[in-house]
Amino acid sequence: MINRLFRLNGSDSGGSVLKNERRMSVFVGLMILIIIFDAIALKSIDIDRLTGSDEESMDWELTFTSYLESETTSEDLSANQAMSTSIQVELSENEYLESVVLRIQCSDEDEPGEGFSDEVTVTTDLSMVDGGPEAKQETGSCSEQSADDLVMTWTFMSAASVDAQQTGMTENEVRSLFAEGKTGTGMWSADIELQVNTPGGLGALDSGERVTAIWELQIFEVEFNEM
Amino acid sequence: MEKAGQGFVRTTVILLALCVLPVVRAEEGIQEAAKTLDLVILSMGLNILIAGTLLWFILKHRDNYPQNRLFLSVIALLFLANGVHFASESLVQLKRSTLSEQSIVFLSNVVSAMDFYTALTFPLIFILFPSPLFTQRKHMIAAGVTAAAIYLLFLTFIVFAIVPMMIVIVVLNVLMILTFLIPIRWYLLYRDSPILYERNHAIAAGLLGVGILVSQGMFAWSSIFIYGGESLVAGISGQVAASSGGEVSWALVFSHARTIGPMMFLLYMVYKELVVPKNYVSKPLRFVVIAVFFVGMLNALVNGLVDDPNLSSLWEFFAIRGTYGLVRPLIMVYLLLKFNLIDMRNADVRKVARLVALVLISVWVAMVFEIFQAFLPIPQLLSAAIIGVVLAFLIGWEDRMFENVAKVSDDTQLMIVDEFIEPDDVSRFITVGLLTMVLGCFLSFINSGLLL
Repeated sequence: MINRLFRLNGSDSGGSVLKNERRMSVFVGLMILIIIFDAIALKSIDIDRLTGSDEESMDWELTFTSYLESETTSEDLSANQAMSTSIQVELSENEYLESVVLRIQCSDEDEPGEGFSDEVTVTTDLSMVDGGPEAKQETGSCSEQSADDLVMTWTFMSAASVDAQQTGMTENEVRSLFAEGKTGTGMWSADIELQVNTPGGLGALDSGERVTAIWELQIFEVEFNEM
Repeated sequence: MEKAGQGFVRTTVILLALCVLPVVRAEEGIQEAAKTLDLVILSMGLNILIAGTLLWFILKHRDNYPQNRLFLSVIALLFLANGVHFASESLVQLKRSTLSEQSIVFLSNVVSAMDFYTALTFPLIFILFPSPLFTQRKHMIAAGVTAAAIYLLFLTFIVFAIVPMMIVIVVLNVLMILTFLIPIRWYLLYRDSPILYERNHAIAAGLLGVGILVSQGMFAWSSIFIYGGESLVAGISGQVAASSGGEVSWALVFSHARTIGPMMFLLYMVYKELVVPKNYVSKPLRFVVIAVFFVGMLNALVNGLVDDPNLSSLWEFFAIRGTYGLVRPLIMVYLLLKFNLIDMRNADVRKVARLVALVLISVWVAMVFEIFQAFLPIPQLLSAAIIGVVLAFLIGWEDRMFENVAKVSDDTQLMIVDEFIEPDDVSRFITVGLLTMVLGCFLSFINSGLLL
């Protein structure tokens, strides 16, 4: 049973349904006319006007080119002295960030013997970086044996995570697969502090080190080719 | 004493909003601009919060009218499906690089399945509100079972490619066009009726119509006659392919046809709300329809003038997809309070409703400012301060607003159908609804290739 408030006003009140339901009839009639008009207009419109060339779904072949960009800063630091280093990460339209690596070298070559062990503490400031990567604070000892005494890595996306062939997608949809690689832009900064540990306060024998900071940006470029 | 305690709590909340929020927001860093991910996560929280609260109201307070409880359960399922939709989408955005390709496909399928689910709750919502179309239990059961069956049947058709996708799209769009006429009919019948009781139905239907159909082309009303081509056509951003064999696809034509009813409804409401006699005016409805009308105008300008793809995609999110994350919850909660669908005579219910209203205000303000920040990346500290002030005012005014909206008066009365359904039918309905939702997710799992 239909609700009495919603029932069609027809035979009960006399006259035809169309007459008693004048507003509804006009509304539905107009709606049908507009639907027909729009259907004809849409079917006869030039598809390029409607979708634009970059909006059309098609098959894509993607070509990836990876490369490394690096920037080095070096300073002679004395005990408990700090240095700052930073790099501005910018990406062009087809470039995507794979990873950012910060390497610290401080080879303790003038170490006179046991008990003389220098350390570096690195504190990163990533508040000016897009995408909110995690800031880190780490300490590493300046060892003669290793080339890098401290390595910090931030990974954004791997080119290998996206299939080189994409089917039935618009260019924007394909580009959205690389959204992760568009984060990480902005100013990457770090403060590096050297701690010199000497037994018995023999500071004259081991007073400081040369500290080198190397920023490495692994970037890949994507070429979007229509198949 | 109790009043003093309430005053203390209120003052504390306002001070916290003024002091703590700006500090917390400022901590996020000056460079962080709002991303769609933030909005997706906030939408997820908002939708799940409302769904959970409504389910609590329905199951805990059985003394409400079964008719109201049944409507609340459909709304709860709608928000739950939206919540699952946003949860899956945020997972895809957050973990795209770590999840397997099949998992991504599965989550994307869940998003589509939940879209479909919400679309099939629309007919049930329109059947039940402002007043049930059917007065007999058997008819309501038939409507619920039909909606669930159509959902599962068509999803199966899609997953196993049993019938061409084109047929599914055409049938569903025709079904939607017909059901969208229900709130339109309520509005046309009674908007200028001299009887207040009848007018209430028209106003409620108008608000419900905007709340639900705002995601069905209302913001693209300017495309009603396809005068601009390109992205002015409603439905172009949907899931259907725009072109087929070098010409516009029929799928797009039918998707656009579905939006014509809502567009006409909006334009008629704008006209009607401006010319209706002064003593018939509904300020909330007038405000809502005019706001949607102007956003639609802005939408046309953005689509026609802006070339920046980043700005366009942000706008697309806000104007098209943000609607059911932001506008719909607000209108629906207003409707529930205004027309006493939650039994506000019960003191416990009133307390919880007030608490939820507060949380809703907080989340909603945060979302609006995320959007604001996305378009105008003003310094975070400034936006944080503005949020604090706005929130403080809203919380301060919450008491008056809440009492004003939730009061029982003549302009809130809607038709209650006696012995419409049995009280236990509501729980049965929720069970079937949840089961259908789970089955939909399972079909998405099959479709992702993880099982077959």
